[in-house]
Amino acid sequence: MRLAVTLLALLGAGGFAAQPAPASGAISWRTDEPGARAESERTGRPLLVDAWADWCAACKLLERNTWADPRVQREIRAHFVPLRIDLSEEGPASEARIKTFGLVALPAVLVCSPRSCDASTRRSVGYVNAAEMLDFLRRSQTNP
Amino acid sequence: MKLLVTTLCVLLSALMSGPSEAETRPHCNLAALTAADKARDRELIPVLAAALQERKDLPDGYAYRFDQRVLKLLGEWVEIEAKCCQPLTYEVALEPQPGGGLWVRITGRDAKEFIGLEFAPLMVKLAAKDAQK
Repeated sequence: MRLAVTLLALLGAGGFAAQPAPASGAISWRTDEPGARAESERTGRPLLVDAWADWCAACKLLERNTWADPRVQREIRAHFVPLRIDLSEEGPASEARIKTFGLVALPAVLVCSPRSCDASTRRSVGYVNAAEMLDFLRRSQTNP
Repeated sequence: MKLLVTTLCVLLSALMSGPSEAETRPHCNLAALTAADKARDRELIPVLAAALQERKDLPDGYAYRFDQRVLKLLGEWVEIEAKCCQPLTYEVALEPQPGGGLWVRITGRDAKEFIGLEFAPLMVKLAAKDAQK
């Protein structure tokens, strides 16, 4: 009996250990919009769009403090398809994206369905810390 | 009467609504600068960086001291920056002349890290001087 209990406990422990460990590390931002939209469509997870530019200090702050936070990283990996939109270069391509997404300031983080991402999309504008971002991400899921 | 009530409601709601959340967070305004503003900003940064003599910590930002000869250029630069980098307060102070310092104090609520990063290009020459000491 004691042996059986031990075996069961070991099996139980083994079963628990066999659960996939939560992934860790930086967010794997996609940069190909069509590919990200296709993944979003396929998985049913919304797109999380990070509109940024290399001249934007608040965007760098978001990268340094917020996107680097393990809680934010876990939340994004579990529930979103992350897509990064680079507006560093001035020109027609950036202007078109600014217009399409209805952007007025950076950084802007939008939660979109694969088929609809425009000026009416839910968003967080300006630098927010990790706790505020988590709150935004969770509210976006419960109240899309 | 109905019109009066409606007007009062609209006025009250306008008075009671503060700035939106985004307006209170550090951000870079995309539409604020013209191409000419951006080009001028790029010209002014190295000139001001060369004239920067000191940076002091403030609880909610930094104070930068410049050679007083760049007063006009500093005013021009502050006008450009204030349109783009928000919501920050810029105070330019010229101490008694001749010899007094020229300061610009840049502050904002929870924005010290943002200010340090945003205005890092001003620090290039000062940081190099400090490194040589």
